Amino acid sequence: MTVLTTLPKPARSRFAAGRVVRALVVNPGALIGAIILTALVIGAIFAPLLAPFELYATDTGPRLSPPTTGNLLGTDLHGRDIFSRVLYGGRFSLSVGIATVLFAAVLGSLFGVFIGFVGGRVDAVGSRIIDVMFGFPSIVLSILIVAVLGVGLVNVVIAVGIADIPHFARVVRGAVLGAKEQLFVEASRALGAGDLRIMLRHIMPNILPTMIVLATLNLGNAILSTASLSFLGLGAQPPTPEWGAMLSSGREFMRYNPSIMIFPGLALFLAVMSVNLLGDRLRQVLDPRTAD
Amino acid sequence: MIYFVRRIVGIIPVLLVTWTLVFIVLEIIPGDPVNLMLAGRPASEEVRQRERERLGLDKPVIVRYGSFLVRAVKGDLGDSFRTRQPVTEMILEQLRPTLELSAGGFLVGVTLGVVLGVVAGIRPNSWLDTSAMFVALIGVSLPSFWTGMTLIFVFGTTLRWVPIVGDGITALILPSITVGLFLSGGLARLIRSSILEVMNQDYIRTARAKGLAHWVVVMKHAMRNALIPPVTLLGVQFGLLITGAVITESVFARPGLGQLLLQSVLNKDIPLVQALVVYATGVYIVLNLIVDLLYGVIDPRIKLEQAT
Amino acid sequence: MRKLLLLTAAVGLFAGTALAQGNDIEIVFAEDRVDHATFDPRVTQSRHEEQVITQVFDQLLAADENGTIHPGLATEWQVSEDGLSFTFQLRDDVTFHDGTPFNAEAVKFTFDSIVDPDLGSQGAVDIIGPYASTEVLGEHEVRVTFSRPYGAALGAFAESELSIVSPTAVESLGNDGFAQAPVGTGPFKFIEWEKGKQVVLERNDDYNWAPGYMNHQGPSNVSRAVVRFIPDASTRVAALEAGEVQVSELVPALDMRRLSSGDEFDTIVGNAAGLPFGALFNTSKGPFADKAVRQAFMHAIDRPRLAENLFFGFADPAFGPISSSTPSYWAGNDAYYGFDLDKAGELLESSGWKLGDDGVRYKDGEPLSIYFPSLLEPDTAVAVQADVKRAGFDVRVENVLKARQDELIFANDYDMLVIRWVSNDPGVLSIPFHSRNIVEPGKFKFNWARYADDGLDKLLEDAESAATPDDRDKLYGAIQKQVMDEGIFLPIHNQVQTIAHSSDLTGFRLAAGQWQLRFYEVTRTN
Repeated sequence: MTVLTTLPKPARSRFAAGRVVRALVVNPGALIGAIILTALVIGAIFAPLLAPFELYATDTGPRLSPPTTGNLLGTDLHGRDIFSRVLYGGRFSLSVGIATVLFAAVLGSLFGVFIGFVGGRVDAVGSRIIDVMFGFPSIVLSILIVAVLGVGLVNVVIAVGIADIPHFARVVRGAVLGAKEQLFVEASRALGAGDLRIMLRHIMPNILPTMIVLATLNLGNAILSTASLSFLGLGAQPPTPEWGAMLSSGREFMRYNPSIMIFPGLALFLAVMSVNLLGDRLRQVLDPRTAD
Repeated sequence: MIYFVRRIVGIIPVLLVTWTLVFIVLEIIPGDPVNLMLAGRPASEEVRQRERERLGLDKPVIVRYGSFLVRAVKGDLGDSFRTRQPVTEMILEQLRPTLELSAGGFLVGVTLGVVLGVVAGIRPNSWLDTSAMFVALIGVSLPSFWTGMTLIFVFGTTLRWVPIVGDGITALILPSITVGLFLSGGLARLIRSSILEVMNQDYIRTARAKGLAHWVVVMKHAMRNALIPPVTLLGVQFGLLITGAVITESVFARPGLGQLLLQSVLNKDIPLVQALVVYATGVYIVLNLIVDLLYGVIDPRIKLEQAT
Repeated sequence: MRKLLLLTAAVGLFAGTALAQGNDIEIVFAEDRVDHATFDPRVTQSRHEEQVITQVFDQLLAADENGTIHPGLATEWQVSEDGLSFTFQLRDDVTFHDGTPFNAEAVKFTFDSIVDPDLGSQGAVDIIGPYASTEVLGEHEVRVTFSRPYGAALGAFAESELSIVSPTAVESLGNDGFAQAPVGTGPFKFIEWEKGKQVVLERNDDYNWAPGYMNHQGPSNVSRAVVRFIPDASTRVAALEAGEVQVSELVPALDMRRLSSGDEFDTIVGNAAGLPFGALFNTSKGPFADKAVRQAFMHAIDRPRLAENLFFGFADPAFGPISSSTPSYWAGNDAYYGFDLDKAGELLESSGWKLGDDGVRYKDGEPLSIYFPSLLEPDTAVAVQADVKRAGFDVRVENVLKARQDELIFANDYDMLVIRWVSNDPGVLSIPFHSRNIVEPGKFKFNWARYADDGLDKLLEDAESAATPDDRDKLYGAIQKQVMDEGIFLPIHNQVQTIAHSSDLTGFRLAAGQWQLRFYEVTRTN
């Protein structure tokens, strides 16, 4: 406890939920983003109630039909209701994006703490790996990982997640190094294993806002990347109505029923845009240091 | 000079780490390489054994690892499993279309990014700023495969303004826009914040105090300095360009490295994957080195030592 | 549809006389694949690679689009009394694109190299059957001998896999080099292969040995033909309509309907002979080890409706293990496995698969789950999946690529796989149904049903060496009946090659098997 009391105050309490919400609401961009995202999430969660048709229902109307009262956004080649599929699609596209970011955040933090805490050569090599992964074409890495693991949404989560690790690892490592230095200087003694816990307790509140901003900013990319992999045939498999997969299989019929392409694409675009809007504002509010 | 040497020597561990990772990943890819090599061709056990020896698969892992590193350094990464052509040759064949696409995408992306970023940065928080940043937001939020397909449908299939699969510069327009849009969003944001930062510097305040017009200050004084930080991003853009190439080449049915990579991974053409990743890391690392060095040249105030 | 094809051929009749004005035609053909690996006819088993090979090579015998055999590089042939040897008199006026003469040595070289394991032949090695040897009897006379009677031999000599290659070119380039720059005697020379983009062919100006059945002689009117790889169907069609390509293969059904109703484009539909598009059930493990489950699966699919839904009338449903346009098709096939959900339910009940609350059937707590890795036609897989769901099957479709499929095949990790095969000969039935073609480690074959039956093997072997056409029909009929009775193959729809081309060109002719398109006779209309 003596150590803690000598430490500078662990970050001014930037992470106050009420203040954050207020800051988001007064910003028109963030408000729009929040509304769109909420709508998409509600659509996804309550898809079984909201969607006029079942998840895998075929022949819900004439095939390749344009929007009608029976099929609000029309139907695809198999007579599946596009509106229902777009709603259900959110369940896959959004949750896959979120899972990817969580995966990356957890592994990235662990890696960052590890190399930052151990330091020395481990840190040098680890940082190098982060550097290389940072600019390395993430899609190449993801495709490579899917080749090892096989296709499927879960494997896409892992693949894109791994490619996203450096973003989190770098921030956490930096925070750990900073905390370590402070502890070292101010407590004037070498750190032991028990101190890792103390240190984590100290840095966690400090980096939490940054992590939240990073996670939000990465979420948009994660949704895009996972949908891209599904578009390339590496992710969701038929008949899963993931948005990227819907776009890929609907392409041939674009000219006969444009809504096959318009609506899943629009849903994807709106999801990514709303997340980005929120992320930008969150960054301004929570983490002015990284607001470039 | 010492800096140069240190920087170049510093590349070695990075390459070693990446190549080792590539080797490990490809080692654990499921499937018997001999089956892949023979690609379904009927073969006696004798032929298979000969292939195994030819591919060096009868040797222990550590020996194969060593020989992989040696071959990576020499740039001789063997023959493709599928076409039995030297992989280096296959990559060189596909280099030109990807370079063209990258150049086109880069041109569109940088032009659009700079214009949006500058427009937004000159008058922060004006309606111009908001609109420019909104366009940038759209750029980073659009799924590029969707953009590509929509562009083809509207400007190719429906309006017929541009060729769909043709050769030449006009066929490059839509793919370049697809890649460029993707790049421009991030670049615009970066330039905007960079301009804002520079505008707060003392020398800009001095210039303003001298009564120079706002735009003169921006163009003459702020711009040069504001564009330096985004230059450092060029190395990172390489990754985005390749990502853009994989998707865009696939959507536009363009040949190129992106397609080659995708096909090689899906066909489990291991030597080709190895070679592509080895070269990609090489190019990426060299680009970063150049950028670091350029950074020092453009802005002499920054000491090279710091750039490490 | 067949009519259209004959019509286009007939208009080309006087093309030869129009040579002076119309001999500078350049065409671009939009091709579905990009991942070609070889253009060596002796190696390939890909119909897409053969699209190029068809233009570059000739064979000893020539088969027209209906499979009728005509003289080709051989003007005459005699079969020995025991049916084991074939003696061919060869044309003496033929040269390869590299200027070397075509002769008996070239024939011997080609056939001997096909059976050499070093070449790694995938298609030709099966088509050449029980090949024993080739003897050079004179500069322009050879005798090819088989080790046992081979009823399909004449047809085989006309297949593009048995094209005659230039020995000089193979020797100077090596097998791998030849695969990249093939040299034949055909109407077009192979100029350049821009990987991932296109193959460029140019007219062979010396060509003066077209098979007699063709409506044109001498060099082609097409001076340059480009085979452009455009894997996306809607892009192919868009490029055709924009005039960037003049002819496209595998045009989607809706586009075929639209294009054929206007004046700008004509369409050709090839009804491919051979195995129809269908699926082999893995009889070695899982739910499909039970015959009743396989039969129930077939009863649960409404094939006429499925074909109509997916192909809008351009492809017929298939009912037998070979398509109805293949010789020796057995009419009895049509009576099998009509759409009958009740029947499907009964069969499953009798095998102990009870319907659960979730609409899936269960037996001993295990769901009726079918793993269906699908290499081709993802929409067909989705339609099958939706159809059989009504009978309580839970089908897990995975869109796979060839490398992944090969891996699953070797690992015996699948419940069903799609297959199709273009062939003019019912002998194609051996490929998926003879037990010698069950996959083993290191031996990639096509009996993915993993079905082994001595009786069926014997029938297949007897049919292959049957002496009279009647015997052949009878034996192949019995084979088809057994395959249907056992329910090891699900026929889905006939394979169709849908071609659309600019209507100012005519003379496109499908090759035998009705998949590849010959450019040789193409000319301008009027």
